[in-house]
Amino acid sequence: MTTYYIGIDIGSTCAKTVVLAETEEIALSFVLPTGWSSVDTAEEIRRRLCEAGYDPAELACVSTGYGRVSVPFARKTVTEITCHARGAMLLHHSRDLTVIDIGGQDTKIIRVEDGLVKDFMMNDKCSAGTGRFLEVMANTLGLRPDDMCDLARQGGGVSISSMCTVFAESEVISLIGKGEKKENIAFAVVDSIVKKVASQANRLEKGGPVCLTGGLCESDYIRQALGEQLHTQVQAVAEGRYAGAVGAALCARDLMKKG
Amino acid sequence: MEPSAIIDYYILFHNHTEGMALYQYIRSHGAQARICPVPRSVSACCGMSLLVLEEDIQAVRQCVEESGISIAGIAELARDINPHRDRYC
Amino acid sequence: MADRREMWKALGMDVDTHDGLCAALPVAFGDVYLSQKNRPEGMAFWDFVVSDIHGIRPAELLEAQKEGRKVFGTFCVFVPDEVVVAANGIVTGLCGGSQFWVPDGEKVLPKSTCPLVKASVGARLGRTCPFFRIADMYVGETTCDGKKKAYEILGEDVPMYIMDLPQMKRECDILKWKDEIAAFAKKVEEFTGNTITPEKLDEAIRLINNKRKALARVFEARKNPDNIPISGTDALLVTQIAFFDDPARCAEMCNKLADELEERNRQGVSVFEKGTKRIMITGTPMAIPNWKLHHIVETSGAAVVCEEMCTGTRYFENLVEEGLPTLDEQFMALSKRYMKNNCACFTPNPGRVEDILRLAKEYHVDGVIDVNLKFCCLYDTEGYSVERALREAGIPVLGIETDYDDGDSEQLRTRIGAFVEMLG
Repeated sequence: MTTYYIGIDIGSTCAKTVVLAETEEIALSFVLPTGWSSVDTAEEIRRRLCEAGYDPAELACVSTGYGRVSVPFARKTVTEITCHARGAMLLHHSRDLTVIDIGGQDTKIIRVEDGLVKDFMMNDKCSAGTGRFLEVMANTLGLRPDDMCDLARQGGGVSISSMCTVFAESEVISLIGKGEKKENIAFAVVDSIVKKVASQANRLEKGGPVCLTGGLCESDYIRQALGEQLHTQVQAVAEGRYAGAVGAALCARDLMKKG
Repeated sequence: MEPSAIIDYYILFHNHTEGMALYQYIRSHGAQARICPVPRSVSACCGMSLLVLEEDIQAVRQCVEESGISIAGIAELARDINPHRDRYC
Repeated sequence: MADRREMWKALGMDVDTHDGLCAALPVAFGDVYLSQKNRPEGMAFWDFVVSDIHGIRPAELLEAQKEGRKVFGTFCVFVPDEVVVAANGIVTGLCGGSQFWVPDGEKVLPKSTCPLVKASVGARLGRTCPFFRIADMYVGETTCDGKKKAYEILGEDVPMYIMDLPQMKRECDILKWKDEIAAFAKKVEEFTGNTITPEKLDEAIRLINNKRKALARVFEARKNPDNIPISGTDALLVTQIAFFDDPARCAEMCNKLADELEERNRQGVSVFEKGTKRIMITGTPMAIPNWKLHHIVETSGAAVVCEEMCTGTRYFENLVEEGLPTLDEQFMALSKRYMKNNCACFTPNPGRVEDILRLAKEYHVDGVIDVNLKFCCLYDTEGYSVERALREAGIPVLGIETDYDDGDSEQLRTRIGAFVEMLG
């Protein structure tokens, strides 16, 4: 019988769960909105896992992410830096890479060398250059975040100068007021995030392929725009948003191996 | 968070000279106590007290009696020590 | 407990507002200190001082003032305590380390001022700290722009004397600092009415040297590669209180603590499990009661074994030459010692990087956290050279910018947790 390992990544917006088989294949994965209470979310995750036949009481489980301490059935918590690095290594089949994760409330850039985290950088406590920034602006534009990213491809010529989410929102509102085209505003929003993330990434010595993980890696446009700013190809895989949860599951496997 | 089921004892004093004297007496008689500020729920004034755990209170009460050092009382409080609270002053 | 409210009222303090700070202290002290296990017995003295931090020492200072002694409040490790002590004066630290004082500081200072300066000004103008009320004179120094301008505002409320610290380390700068010390000595003589003689100054030099040696002994015990006899949070408290305490008592207590720590090292009594990662913290000072970063590190699976900061090695490293016969030679000896301090206000400042690399070896550190108080341009900028030098030396380093607010604790826990995981 194969052994399974559970990884749970409770972010500020979404909670990602992965069940990893001994073969390192993903046996189950699902996303839930984190909602108001990570404790309730954790309970919902437990229920779903049990339904699918993976009782966390019997399997090794590690939690990560901002809500990591709210998972009572996790045997250990590990920070999202370590988990994203390990998840990205598995998903991208590489032991030398630079991981960029644009999360809900923070953006991480992680340098992995020879299978180990060598250095990392996170944005300061303000939400500029994070998923939250994108979400707020998309709301203002009456769009879903991924639709806004698609629309941005068709726009250009406008920029937002404020880094602060609150000020940038007023800028967006005044652009709307001026009758600026939606695609141009969408372009300005994405451009602002990409530049902020790129300037952060440029402070870290890069090496190996640059991989984008987290929810935003599903947007081709963001990946391309980030690549242009960093003068390199940015890779992404379909399961990219599960990188943190996959890494947590790998940490769960270590727990069992170490006994 | 739920109040803890563990009870902590705080020895209160009229002045810190007596507080220190009792602390030294307790320690030299092999009992346990720790110096700390008086919890707010007990007194409205900054000042020292001695924190004593449930398992040590018997011995400490005995020290109070034997030493004859005057105390202002012993407060019993549900434990409120949480290293992950992250509330600094 | 003796009611301190009367004393505070007599000092002109805003007692009701100050009560907010008194309310926060027991909880923070409990979470940070009472949660620790197996602390050295000698820490009882410092626990005692903190438990009545605005009572015990202020009461002593008031007694001394009744005898006619003057209290000088200082903001920085560059102001020579020896000169004040030689004139029978008393030095007390004035640095604000609590978010509690920041809003009062922000009433008059730009928000983009470092929290230490904002808290210090706020503590005075808000009348919520007895030390700021008791000091007869404030002695400032020109180590940063924020403080220089803040002194002008404080000077409207309290007698203020400012020493002009050179910002380079040429021979002429050491001579210039010597002249500044001599001018300060004159001012202290006038203000206290006491003459500073070479005999008295030599005595004061020996007294302060003894305090430095005692603090150095405590730190020496932290160098043991196999045993951590004291938590970083405890060691930080010892240093923080040293700025306020009587220097002779400080030396006595530190020496007692050092005896115990040395014994703990012999017996292998550690406050952390074997193999706990050893962290050095470098950067801006942590004035009392700023325990946030140390506490987060030490509840994230690592131990702090050294502080390369003003509330750390920069406070006690290097001694002043003793036994010199004339004031002129003594002032020069003082200048030489103080100018060895590698504060980020100097340019160029290669000595600081050398210090950090040396300390990393001496204290057998696994990683360094370079911390910068928000809006401290000097340490922030120097962080670039510091972090680069550490990386080149193969020592992992994490740069952190923070202030006194609790708001970033969760983020700090993630970063520091990840850093500790990275160390293996």
